[in-house]
Amino acid sequence: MLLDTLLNIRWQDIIDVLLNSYILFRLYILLRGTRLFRTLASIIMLLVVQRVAEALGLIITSWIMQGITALAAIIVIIVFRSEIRTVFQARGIKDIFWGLPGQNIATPVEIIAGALFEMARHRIGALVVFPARQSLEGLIHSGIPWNGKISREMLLSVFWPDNPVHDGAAVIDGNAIREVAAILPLSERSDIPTYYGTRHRAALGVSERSDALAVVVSEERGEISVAREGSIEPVDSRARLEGLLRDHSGAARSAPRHPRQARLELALAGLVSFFIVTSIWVSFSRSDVEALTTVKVPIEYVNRGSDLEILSVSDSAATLQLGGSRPLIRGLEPSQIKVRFNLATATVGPNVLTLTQEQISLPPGVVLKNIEPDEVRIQLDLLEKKRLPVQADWVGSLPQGIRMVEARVAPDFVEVVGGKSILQDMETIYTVKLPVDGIKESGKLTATLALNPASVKLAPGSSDRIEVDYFVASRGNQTPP
Amino acid sequence: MNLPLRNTPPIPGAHCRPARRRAICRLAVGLLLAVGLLGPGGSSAESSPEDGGEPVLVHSSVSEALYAFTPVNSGVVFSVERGSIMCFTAFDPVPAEAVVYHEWYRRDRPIATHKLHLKPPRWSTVSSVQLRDADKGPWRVEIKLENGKLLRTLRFSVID
Repeated sequence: MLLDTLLNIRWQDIIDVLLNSYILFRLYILLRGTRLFRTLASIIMLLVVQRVAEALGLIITSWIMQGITALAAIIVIIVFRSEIRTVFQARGIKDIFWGLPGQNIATPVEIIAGALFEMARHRIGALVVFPARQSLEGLIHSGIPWNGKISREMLLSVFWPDNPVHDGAAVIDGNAIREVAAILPLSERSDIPTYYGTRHRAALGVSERSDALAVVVSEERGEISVAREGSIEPVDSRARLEGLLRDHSGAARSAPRHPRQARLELALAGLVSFFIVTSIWVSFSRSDVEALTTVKVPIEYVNRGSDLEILSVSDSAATLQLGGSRPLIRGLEPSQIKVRFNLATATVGPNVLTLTQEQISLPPGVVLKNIEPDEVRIQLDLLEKKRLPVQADWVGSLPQGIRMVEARVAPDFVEVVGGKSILQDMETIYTVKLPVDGIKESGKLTATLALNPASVKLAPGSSDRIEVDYFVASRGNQTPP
Repeated sequence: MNLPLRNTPPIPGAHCRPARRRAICRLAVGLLLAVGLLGPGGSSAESSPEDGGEPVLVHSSVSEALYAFTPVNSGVVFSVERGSIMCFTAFDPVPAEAVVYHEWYRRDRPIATHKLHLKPPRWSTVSSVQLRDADKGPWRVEIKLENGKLLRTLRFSVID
């Protein structure tokens, strides 16, 4: 049976499996190492348990698992909204669709810590930013690309007071200084100690808006502070600073350090993704039981000439009997099925269209068993314009002793568009029904036109607002007012 | 629908034969036309005289009744309870014997066609239809010559 399934693979199935395997693989690349990934894996486990429970007939377990899964999905969106935003917004298109994690390069924390403490001793102000997983694009401005390998001398020279780029932040990624003189967003908090200057406020600002870590060297007090996750703290010892930088570097680089190990992990992830999607596809395609369903689908008509109008159709929907594997039939949506006639060759008057497989579009794997009706009769007519007089359609009952002697409508003619055979019998266009019951004296009213049948439309430029002036007189009085 | 056609009697005077009284008859016809035909409210001088020998429509109206050759309670809205309505037309001059048609329509559906004869020198005609409850709605009467020329369309409604 599995061999039969594999022999009957269509090109659409191959694309289907490859595309979804890649999507799964990309999701893994984007989410790995995050808490969100671990939580999603737990939810998938819950789903598997629910399906197993359902298959075994454990109704209550299945029902509870279904509820928990749905609830967990909502909770994940609420709890991890910032992490989801980070994954899908902070990264570029390349990272989301085809970028691979680059080779991990260790940050030389000892060199950095040593240089920073030396600057503190010499009262040289400095601000260094260490991005983590979240991109700082959009947060930092006016940075000058540097791309210099980190060394003690390099760091000292960047922040040396006479250096033109010393008065900004240096951005360190891996073992390189990527940018210097970068401007960071300032924190707007009011509880910051007054002895903290702009550098501290900038360090705190970037740590509030991202997962980056910022180190500040105060030129007034020769003190080192570290800002992360929206808080700032002084660091007294070099060992402590190295520890903090190492921890942060570890969070930013959760991938294995060895390149070969990284490649192996990616290959394994790709294979697992392919296996999962293939399993799902096989479970959909390979089924011992063929299910049948009956679907009623509206019939669509395309390529009708712009001068033609559909007057009538014998059937507006077709009833299709469809077959396929049980999962396919269960997941079938009416919107996936189209019944569409091409009216390019239809002519004015009656047309008989035969309903065959050619007019029906079905999802892959679903087979058409029967169609009803097997033919559709459609009447087409030529569209044309006609100028018609307007007449007021009075209803109701006039009060005793009153008669309406005259009624004038403006405009007294309108132009309409409709099927030729309909318009040839139309000589007048009437207003909507106008009640006369309350009329006691001459007056004026505004009415709309009653377009009947609905296929008749007012031609562009014709107004459907009709002014009606009416004149009444007493019964027996022959003179109009 | 019951469609009794009532071709009104010729205007008094039109049948005066004795030669001695011809002049008096003509005077009487003239006076009656002035009072009885042009007098009723509505449309006088509805079409201008023409040279082609066609009768000229000088008055037309839909009314509840006719009294002394004069339409009574002309209008554009009539109660079905009246039981009947009539279309009155007057022609002056009528150069030669002619035929006019009163074609009645309800909601664009032809209901009745009345063939009416006109005689010189002037003539008035009337046609009527009986009304039933199902006849409520918008109506029109088209007044046409024998050659199909439309002289006038009268529009009205039949209501409760």
